Amino acid sequence: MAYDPLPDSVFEYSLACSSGTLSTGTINVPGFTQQTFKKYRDDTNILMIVRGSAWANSISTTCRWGIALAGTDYMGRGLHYFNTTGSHRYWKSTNTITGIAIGSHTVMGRWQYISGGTMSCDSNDLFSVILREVTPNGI
Amino acid sequence: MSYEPRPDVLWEYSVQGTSQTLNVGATIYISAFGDSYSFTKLRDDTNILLQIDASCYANSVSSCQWGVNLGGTDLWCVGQMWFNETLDHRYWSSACQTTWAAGTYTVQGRWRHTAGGSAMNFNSDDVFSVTLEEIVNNRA
Repeated sequence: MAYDPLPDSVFEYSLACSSGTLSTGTINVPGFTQQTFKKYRDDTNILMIVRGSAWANSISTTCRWGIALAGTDYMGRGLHYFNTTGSHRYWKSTNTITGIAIGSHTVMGRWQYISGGTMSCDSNDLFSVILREVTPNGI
Repeated sequence: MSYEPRPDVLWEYSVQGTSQTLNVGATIYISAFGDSYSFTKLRDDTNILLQIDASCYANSVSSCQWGVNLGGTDLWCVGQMWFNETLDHRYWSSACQTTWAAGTYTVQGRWRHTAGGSAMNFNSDDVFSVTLEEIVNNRA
């Protein structure tokens, strides 16, 4: 190999959710235990990848998944839209978080109501977050 | 820039399905994935990040889980894929990470039935995609 590859610095935390509902505002993902993310440099960004699943009690219900990093909410882009009721649906989204200083920061999974009815999750659902420290490349 | 970015250490393989059925209670290899691939982990003091994107359909309300067999050991992504509808191709995506020793390991796709009373199916309209990445764990 002509170069010496170095592993990326990556945070990953995934869980099967606890039972919970969402009908307004933004709540902690049921079952998510607060974690800590370590950022190694000031001049880098964070690529966030969030995956989640849930079901809705009425159609045209929407939500977002994301995290609270050091107490500030950062949500995945785009909506998780439910066309059916009572059916577990999976969703994945990304976002780039900028302006986070070097150091250790708390991480909490977040679930945000946007519109429609009530959403629910249980142990048949998952929530997963990956935080990757990345070199800024155009943002 | 005060440092030199390096390429990632990342393994990826994706397949479109060959028809296969996962029976109730079964754990099987994903035939379309084959058995001739290997992943090399360069260091002992790093973790493996496994990410899987997959789809399939169920004969009735049931659930399954996706993973890989790495050098003879099964590694399962967190969470399960729950089907409320029947005969409807659904997409699923999950991840997990773990410590792992340096070395070269065979990689095969794995699929297991976790709940419900019906079989699940995978065919040419489905996908199974895996990335294995050597990472520095920065979750304290």
